[in-house]
Amino acid sequence: MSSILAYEFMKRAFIASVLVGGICSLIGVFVILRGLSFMGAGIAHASFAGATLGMLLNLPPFPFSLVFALLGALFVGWAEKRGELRSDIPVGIVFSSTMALAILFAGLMRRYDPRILGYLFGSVLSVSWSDVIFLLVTGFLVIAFISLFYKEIVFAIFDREYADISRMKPDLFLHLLLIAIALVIAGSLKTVGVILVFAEIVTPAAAAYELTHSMKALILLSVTFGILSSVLGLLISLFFDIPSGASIVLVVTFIFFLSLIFSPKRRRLKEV
Amino acid sequence: MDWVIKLENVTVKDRDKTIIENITLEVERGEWVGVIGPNGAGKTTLLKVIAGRIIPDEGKVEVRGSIGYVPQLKKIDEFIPLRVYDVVLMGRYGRLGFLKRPGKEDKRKVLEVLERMEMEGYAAEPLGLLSGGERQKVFIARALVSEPEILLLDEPTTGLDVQAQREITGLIRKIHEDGVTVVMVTHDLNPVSPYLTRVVYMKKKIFACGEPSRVLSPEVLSKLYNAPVDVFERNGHICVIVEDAHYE
Repeated sequence: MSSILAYEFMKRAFIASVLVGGICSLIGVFVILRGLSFMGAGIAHASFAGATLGMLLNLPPFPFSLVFALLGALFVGWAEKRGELRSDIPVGIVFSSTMALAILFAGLMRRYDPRILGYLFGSVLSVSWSDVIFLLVTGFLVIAFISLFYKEIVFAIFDREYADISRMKPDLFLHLLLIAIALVIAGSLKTVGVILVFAEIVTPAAAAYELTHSMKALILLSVTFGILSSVLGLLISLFFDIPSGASIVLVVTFIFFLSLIFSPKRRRLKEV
Repeated sequence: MDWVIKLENVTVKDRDKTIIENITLEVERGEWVGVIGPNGAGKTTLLKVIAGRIIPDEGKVEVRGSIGYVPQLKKIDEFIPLRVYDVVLMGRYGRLGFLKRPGKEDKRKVLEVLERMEMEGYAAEPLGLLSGGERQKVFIARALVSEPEILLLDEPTTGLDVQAQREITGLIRKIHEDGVTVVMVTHDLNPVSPYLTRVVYMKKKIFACGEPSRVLSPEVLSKLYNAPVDVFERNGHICVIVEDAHYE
């Protein structure tokens, strides 16, 4: 382990993986409780379209990916609140239209930019210190938001109507939650890629959901699974020389199936 | 008059569709009002207007006093990561406001209400594993911890077995006896008819409003439900039987 960390790029890769694993699995708890699992994929694709536009314009991809992720999240939130469309319809539209935009922007490039593949599948070994710092800032903001407004967020998620009657502004907090999800996705995109960021958000939280009836335990377990799978996945990828993103996601999927098999909730439900 | 709820010519529309129309109603302190009517009559909308969740398109709503609200019982995820204690504590959040965390007083109040409802043993139970009747009691407890002066209940006994219906009715009776004004939407007046101070019959508009014994007549109810209705009294309870028009 110490010999691996002797390399500067490996240090960055480990720190970035742990941060992405921790932040994604933390926000993932609220994503699955709110029933927004599919939305994560929609925002990730919007973010990818933004990144390709940045590359097309020869500008840093990250600000574009962040703006696109935020616009995608806010569009879904707005469409859902208006209630004219079922929430899976705007997500489906964001998902497909932004992917079309990404392909269009890539097609308009004079020369193929190899970073496109990195954003699609992730390239943890190529993250820079500025990427790590951004992930740290994202993590700090997300943890601060959840710690400060935990009561308000949980209330809005579980009973939007009662929260509204109690004058607790549930729509404001649900929109802020969407912004936090967009921030996490845009920040994690370079490390794990469009396709796998979705798994890093949903799977640790889904595994933890099988194991506890307590909200706080759910958060702790989800973050533990997220970080554990990131470290184990990265180590496995190094030892067997396989892609790190795939290895991380397969480890967390394995944890999910273990949770499903040994779920005390399912056992208790059978008894009731 | 010591009114706590006053609605004047209230109309609510959803785009072009009128949900409730020109409703004028005053509820006095200490009353227990039952609101009945067929499906789609706007009963739930009326409660939400009083609760401040829906702003009417026309008319004026005034409420004097804090409100506790018990929504219709919905199907919930059995795996929901909430325990009874957590759900009841949510009833204090409105009083706490933003950023403040629940303190000792809030926790004490939750345990006190659960004890009063003989549910202290349920505090650590997962919400998803409770029966419909138990869950309804939890939602009533959540409304009560906010120490409301007015309690709004949306079909609190619908979908529950007879035993659970009886328990919930007894509970609401106790709450009313403690001085809380109750407005309750219901499909089934039979278990609560002896305790209601007034009944409101509505179908978008208010059709009739008054004391149950004076207003509960086969003529009014038959018109409201568009089916023959029989009304009789037994042991102080006014019983309403809506016959199926199909068999006429």
